[in-house]
Amino acid sequence: MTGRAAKKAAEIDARTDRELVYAAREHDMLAFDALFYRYKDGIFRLGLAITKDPSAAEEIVVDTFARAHRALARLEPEGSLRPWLYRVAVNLSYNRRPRKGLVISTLEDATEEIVQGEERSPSRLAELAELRRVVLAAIDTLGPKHKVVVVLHYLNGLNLAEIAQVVDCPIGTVKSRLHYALRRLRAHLAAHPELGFEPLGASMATPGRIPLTAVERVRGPQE
Amino acid sequence: MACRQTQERIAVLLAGAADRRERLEIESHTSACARCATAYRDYIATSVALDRAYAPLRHATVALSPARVRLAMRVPEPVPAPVRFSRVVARVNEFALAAAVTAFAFVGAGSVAPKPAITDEAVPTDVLTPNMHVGTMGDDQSFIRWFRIGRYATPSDLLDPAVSPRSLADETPPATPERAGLLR
Repeated sequence: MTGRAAKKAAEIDARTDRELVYAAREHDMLAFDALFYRYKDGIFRLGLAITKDPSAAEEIVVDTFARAHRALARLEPEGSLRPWLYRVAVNLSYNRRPRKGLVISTLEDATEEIVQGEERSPSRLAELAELRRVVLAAIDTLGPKHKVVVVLHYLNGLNLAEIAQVVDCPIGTVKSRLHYALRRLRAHLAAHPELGFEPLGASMATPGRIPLTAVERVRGPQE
Repeated sequence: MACRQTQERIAVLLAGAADRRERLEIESHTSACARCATAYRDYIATSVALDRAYAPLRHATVALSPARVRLAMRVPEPVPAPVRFSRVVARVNEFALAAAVTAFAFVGAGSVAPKPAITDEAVPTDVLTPNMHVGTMGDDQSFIRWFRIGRYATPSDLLDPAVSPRSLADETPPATPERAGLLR
């Protein structure tokens, strides 16, 4: 990238979503490109978490921004653009039917290369991989409404208000769905005591103190 | 605060959306309720497990270009200003060249074209038709036949109007076989 191009990119990145949307409305394609680079990875992760298919997730990114480009004139840039884009991506992810004969790789496969890059002992890596597999399998047992809330919060880092905008429902509903999802996941994970999850009701905590042994087991040694 | 309400608030607390008052209420309830204290611990463990399960995916990136979006929408690529300027110059040159060629063709045609002749009204415009024998394809075949067999033909054959040009008898003397042979 030349110095002038880098300066231009930095200048564009400094602008807010609102400014970029207004500039893109005036057919400033560089502003639209800046929006694309700002949100493409988040949307890709969301699509990957829901579809578990990297190529499908790429198509979701492209389709989401194609829709955004068509809707530029009626976009409401006063609010944040992120919930709008994520809502489109969620709808596209759930409307996408798996292609016939396609063997969808698991999410662990998609992230395997990243995990291998971490510097840990083999036993710890194996334990983490098993934990990841169990947790992701438990997430798959959730319904779409609850899974979206979990993915948006724990993967994409959206707060509850933003999730409410994405799924287009009151924030109280989001809280309820998150609680339900955590309860269901806890029930599934309780079947794996070898990973540090104790069976439900097996040990009653002492009132007045929150025992964090299970948390420490899941977290592992302090990093 | 009821246990169910407390457990719902625990999920909100773990999501970072609970205020200080709610947090104190949860802590006071869990200090007195073993069941909710267990739920609190379990939710924390689940929340941490979720966080860890998604940790590798948080670093996932996609190598996509905005050109893919434009390709999907059939939107033309933005052209840099210098390239745009050179394209405009090239187009202007094309038009100038085309105009010059067209002008040259018109001017040249005007100077080279023959002047229209002064025509006499008394002279019929078509002067060729009355003096021209318009033959048919049969006449040509007859001429060729006459030309090829002339050497061996008798004068009477050559004078036969069926195998000779119409005016041959008037303009040429009867040919002897020897004379006809010279025509070869």
